[in-house]
Amino acid sequence: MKGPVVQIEGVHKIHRRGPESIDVLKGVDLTVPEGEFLALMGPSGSGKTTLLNLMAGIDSPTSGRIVVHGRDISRFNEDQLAAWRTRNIGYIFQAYNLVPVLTAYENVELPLLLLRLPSKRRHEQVMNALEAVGLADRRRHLPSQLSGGQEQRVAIARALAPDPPLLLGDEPTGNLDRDSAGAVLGLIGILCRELGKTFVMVTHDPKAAEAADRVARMEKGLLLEDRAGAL
Amino acid sequence: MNWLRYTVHALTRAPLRPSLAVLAVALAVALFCAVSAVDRGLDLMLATGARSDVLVVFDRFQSCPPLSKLPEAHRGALEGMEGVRDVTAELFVISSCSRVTDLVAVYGIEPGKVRSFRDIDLPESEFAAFSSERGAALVGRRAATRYGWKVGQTVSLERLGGLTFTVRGIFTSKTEGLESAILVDLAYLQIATSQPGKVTLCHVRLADPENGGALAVAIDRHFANSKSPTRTASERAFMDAAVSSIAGLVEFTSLLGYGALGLVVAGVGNSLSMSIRDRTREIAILKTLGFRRPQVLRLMLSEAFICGAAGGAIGVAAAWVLIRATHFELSVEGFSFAPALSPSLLLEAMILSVVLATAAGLPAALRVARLRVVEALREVD
Ligand SMILES: Nc1ncnc2c1ncn2[C@@H]1O[C@H](COP(=O)(O)OP(=O)(O)OP(=O)(O)O)[C@@H](O)[C@H]1O
Ligand SMILES: [Mg+2]
Repeated sequence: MKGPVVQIEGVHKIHRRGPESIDVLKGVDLTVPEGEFLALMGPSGSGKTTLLNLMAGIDSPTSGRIVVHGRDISRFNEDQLAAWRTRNIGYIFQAYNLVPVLTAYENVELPLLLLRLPSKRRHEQVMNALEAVGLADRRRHLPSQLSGGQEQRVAIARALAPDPPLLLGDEPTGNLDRDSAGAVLGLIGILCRELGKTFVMVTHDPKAAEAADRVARMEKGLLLEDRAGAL
Repeated sequence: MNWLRYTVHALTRAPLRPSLAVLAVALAVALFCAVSAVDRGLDLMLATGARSDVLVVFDRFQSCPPLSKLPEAHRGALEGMEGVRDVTAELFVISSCSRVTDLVAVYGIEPGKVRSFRDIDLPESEFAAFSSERGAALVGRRAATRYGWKVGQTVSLERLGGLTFTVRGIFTSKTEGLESAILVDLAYLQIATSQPGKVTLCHVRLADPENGGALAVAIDRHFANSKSPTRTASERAFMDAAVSSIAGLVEFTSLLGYGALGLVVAGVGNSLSMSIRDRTREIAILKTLGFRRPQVLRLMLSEAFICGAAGGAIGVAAAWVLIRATHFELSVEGFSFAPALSPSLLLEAMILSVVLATAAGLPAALRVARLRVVEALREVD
């Protein structure tokens, strides 16, 4: 195994809503080595999305350390996190990943606009990412003109385009039929192996978890088992 | 792809709501231009149309000057008064005395005096042809354009009882409103309209311009016990009185203008805040990708900016076409004026539209720029 890409140590997350406070994460430790495809499973409300959002730097922990690629992002402020996300994280949501008024090409180009690349270089990166997911010929299509599986593949291309070390997916195949889900997972597996990306995916689908190198299980804000291999 | 293209796509690929906003802005800007143009036209009339060395003598008992009737004999009496240098009489025939838009105003004038009392400009030969022929007319440039009249053409005005004249000249004038008028010989108009010996008013040129107030009082006293008492004041005073009679209307229309601008704010603000609410998800995605507050703010405000610019351009163009094409004209108690739609007014409307639209978008844009990604994502799920 290579060195860890994600190191989570003693992370607590308390959501406050008015006088109420919900203890969502109650001391989570997790290490994800480079190049691993990790599936995060567990019942609804167990805190999977919350944990993923912390790794993505779109949310901050109440206490504990989150080190990604050697940097403790739990200390970053909002602007630092934003700039860091562009280069370090590719996030794929369950659905509605794409900006509906932009074409596949323009969607993939979005994060690159933040990197001030020369336009030729930007174009190459967009086309490479679209080719990696097999949708270069659909680049001029709007999201409404693509199937659900194709939309998710464009979302993967967009996540890949800035070449981040860590990809995160919150039930990325949750809205897809079995065949499309299989194709998307197969693609993710290949990308991890060939491009050396690390991928953490939340899923409810045991079948989807089979594609992963390892499955971690959450329950009531705690990481219960941390089991290598498929179920 | 750059920022502007993103914004343009956002507007053109989901065009319904932005089109409505642009339409609202266009309507408001057109209204604002029209109302301001009327306001400025009125100011222009006051600035150019009134002379201080000339008194106007009207019928005391007619509050509406065009309905005023004086015996032509008053002219002779006025000529004999001390402090008077020159006098001319005029008879007005106007299709209506109320505030109408498409009015036909015919002035019966004394050809020998008209050029010293009225600011009209035309070729000498045309004026000579006019003076030497009864039934000839001089037509203001605006009237000629509006009705398509040419020199040499004979015209019969049905609305004025079939008054017939031959156009012998077309004049320009710096006096607001005069260019819309038709000038014919006084005696000819008196006969044609069956008002022999009647005039509407007399213009009195003062020997001493400082003496206007005293002379006006003297004139009215002189005629006080005659069959036709008079009301005399400087032209400026008459115009001010006429304009003040529509002060309420002017105030109302300028309120309308500001209301229209309020419409810009409301329209764009509402459209943008609804469009942003619909796009909470999209903005959460942008933020996840690393877009920061100022960048989101810029994207959203550029949409408002474009709506303001597009609506402003359409509104300004619409106002221009409307006012130019219709030769729209207003008359206040016999003084007529056209809305003054200057390039500077159009520019001002354009700038206001863009600034107001952008400002109107600001609250919604700020709200969305501050949005926390995690909350936004949960809201939609
Ligand atoms: N911003 C928040 N404010 C208040 N409570 C929150 C917030 N985010 C999450 N929670 C609560 O935290 C708990 C865990 O939520 P989370 O979304 O992480 O669960 P999950 O494991 O992803 O569930 P699911 O499988 O349904 O997606 C839930 O009880 C949820 O209601
Ligand atoms: Mg979840």
